[in-house]
This record gives sequence, structure tokens and C-alpha cells, in this order.
Amino acid sequence: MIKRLLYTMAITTLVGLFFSFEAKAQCGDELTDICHAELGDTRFIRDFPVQHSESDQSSSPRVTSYEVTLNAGTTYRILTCNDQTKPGKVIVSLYRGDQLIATNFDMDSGRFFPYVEYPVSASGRYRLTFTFKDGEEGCAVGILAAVED
Amino acid sequence: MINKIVSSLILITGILGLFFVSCAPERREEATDLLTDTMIAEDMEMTDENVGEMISGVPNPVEMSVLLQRSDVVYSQDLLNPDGNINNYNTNFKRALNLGVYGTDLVYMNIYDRTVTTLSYLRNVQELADDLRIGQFFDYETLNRLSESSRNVDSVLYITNRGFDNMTRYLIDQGRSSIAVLIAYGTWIESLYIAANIRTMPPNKERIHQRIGEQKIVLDNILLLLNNYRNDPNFNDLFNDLMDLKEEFDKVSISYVYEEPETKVVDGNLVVVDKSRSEVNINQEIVDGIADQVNYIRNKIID
Repeated sequence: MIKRLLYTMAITTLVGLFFSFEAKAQCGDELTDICHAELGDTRFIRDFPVQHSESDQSSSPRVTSYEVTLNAGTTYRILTCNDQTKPGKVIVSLYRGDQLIATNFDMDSGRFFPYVEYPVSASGRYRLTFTFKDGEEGCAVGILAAVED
Repeated sequence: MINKIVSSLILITGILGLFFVSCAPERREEATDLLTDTMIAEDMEMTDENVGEMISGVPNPVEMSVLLQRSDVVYSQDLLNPDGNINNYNTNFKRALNLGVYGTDLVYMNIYDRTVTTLSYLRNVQELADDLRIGQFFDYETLNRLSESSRNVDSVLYITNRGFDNMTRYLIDQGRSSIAVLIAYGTWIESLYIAANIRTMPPNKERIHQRIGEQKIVLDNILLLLNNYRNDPNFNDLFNDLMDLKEEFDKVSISYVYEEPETKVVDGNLVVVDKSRSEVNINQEIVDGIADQVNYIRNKIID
């Protein structure tokens, strides 16, 4: 009886370990690696992992913000990748102050662009915001890269 | 009999598995200072989340190094923090700052394909990261292997940058954002130091001066971050030195003309057309003043 119990516990532990690694494999460094491979001819600058649980129906979807400094004369690419095991699709928006420069989601057509490219002509502090469409649970990564000349 | 052996093996494996998942990494010798993991100033206004949002505004040293290389600036090992200086860093404060400094040096060397000399700097970054209990984010073995070939420079830079980003996020999640701020500051000051001390000719010189002048934008951010921890005398010292640097940067003027951006779709992706522009007014005299103060700050950090 005790032997059977210990045996079951050992198996459960091994299985649990395996599936915990599997669950992490999508969301986190592996997702960044997968996304990085899609960057094309660019130089990686920074990654922005984002993970949100499903938003309450009564409240606005959660938004995560990051400041970035962008330099005039450089063309930046902002690429996003979603963890396919979760329903949420990430919307990334670039702001200069309160002015929206660009977003990867076209509200009129409901279309997502794989990346946004921005040839900067005014150096300064900008802001990247990340949220999941309709407040769904999601895990994603945004990558900021400089396009090679 | 066989069933018994198999059952025992599975049991032992399960227990060992638990052990390796749960045991903490071996700790290096603790630093002598009292830099606690949670430093809360009495009137602190920025939360760790605020710090996390702002710290990404400190530029990655890749951009400055790439600018220098493309401006035909000759590589200079003499500009870098000597690898032997690591023996001087016996406080968490110094270790965090110089983790940033060596991180920038590593990026600079890789951009210039100096793969042979990166080994000791890789070791320094690993050692300092281990001392600060964030070494798990720095993949020394892979970086060492990749650094042997100049064809792997992009991979080396990617792994290095991601490692530093992960360190920063971990520190902020753990309530150790003061360490993250010191690393970011060390990264930035070393990048600025290298740019301010290179020798080059026009028109490349003007391009680099422009980029130096643009650091005025970043400096305000860093002052806000440092201000958060000024209850600590070491941070207060850094803050005061940076205020002296601000006096030099106040001579730089940056003007902006903003226009509404437009967007177009190219090959299924969104491309921004932005007619806004910025202009940086800076001259050699201002650059020399900035360089003098940056040199003073940086040499104090690495000493």
C-alpha cells in the first residue's frame, strides 16, 4: 500500500515537472527566441514580455507601458508574437507624449499587422503600450529592433 | 524483483528531481556593504512598477556602438574598463555599477568583432552577476562558445542583451530595483564615456556629437530614477555628480517640430511616415565640457 503510494507520488512528480517546463516553454524566453527568428534583417535592441490574465468585464483591459528612447536617423521595427496556447492577441501602440504614432491593430478592419516600422525623424522619449484585444488572457512579446541599412 | 528495482529508481528520480528544482544556487561571498534588497526612501514616490516602466528608457549600448562603428571610429581597447579592476569591487553598489560598465564594454567589443578579447570580460560579467545573485540569466558557456567566431556576433549580442533585460526584470520583480537602476546607470555612463572620448573627423564627428547631445533626454530619466534612492549616501553621491553633468547638458538645446504622422501598408506591414523632426544644437566646447564631467564620474565608478 505504502509502496504503491510512493510509486504514484514519484510518477506524479515527474509528470508535473515535465508539464511545468512545457507550459513555460511557450510564454517567456522561448517565445522571445521564436519571435527573434522572425525579425528579418534587423539588430535586436530589447524585448518586452507581457502577460495578462483575463480582464474583468466591468473594467478596461489592462495596459502595460514601457518608455523607450528612439534616435533620429534610425528605422525601428516593433514586432509582436503571441503565445498560441492563450486566446489573447496583443495590441502594441507607440506614443510620443499623448500622440499616437502607430499601432499594430487596425480597428476598422480588425486586422493585425505582424510588425510596425518607424523611421524616426525626431529623437526623444516614446512610450510603448501593450494590451490584449477585448481584455482576453494572453502572453506575448514585443521586440524592438533597428533595421539594418 | 525487476518491478521493485524500477519502482525504486522512479522514486529516487522523483526525489532528486524535486531536489534540483528547489535547491538554491550556491552563493558567492556576500558583499561587505549594507545595500539591502529593499531600499525604501521615506518619501519615495516611484513604485517598482514605475521603475520598471522607466528603466527601459535607458538606451541599449548597442545603438551607440553601432553608430561609432559606422562612423569609421577606430576601435580602442584603452577606452574600456580594465578587466583586472574587478578585484576592486567588493560592495554590491560597485558590483552593480560595473556590471553595467562591463556589459557595455562587451557590446562594444562584439560590435567591433574583437572576439578574442571578450573572454575575460565575459567572465567578469558572469562573476559580478553571480555576486549579485542574478547570474542565472547570463549564459556564459553559450556566449563563450559563440564568441569564438565572428560569424556569431548577432547571436552573442542577442543573448547578452536579453540576459541583461531578464536580469533587470527579475530584480524589479524581486523588489531589488535599486540594483537594476545601478546596472542601467553603469551601462549608460560607459556608453557615453566611450562616445565622448573617441577621435574622428567630420561629418562623422557631428553625427556623434548629435547623439551625445541627445543623451540630455536620457539624463533627466536617470536623475528621476536615482532620486528614488537618495536616502542611501552612495546614491546621493551619484545623484549629485549627475547634477553637475546636467549643468553641462543644459548648454545643449534640442528643438522639436511636430507634425501629424501618416501610415501606409507595405508588404502587409505598417510603416509610419513621420515628418516631425528634432534638431540638436551642440558644439565642440560643449562636448568637451560634457566629456570632462563624464570622465570624472566614470573613473570614480570603475576605480
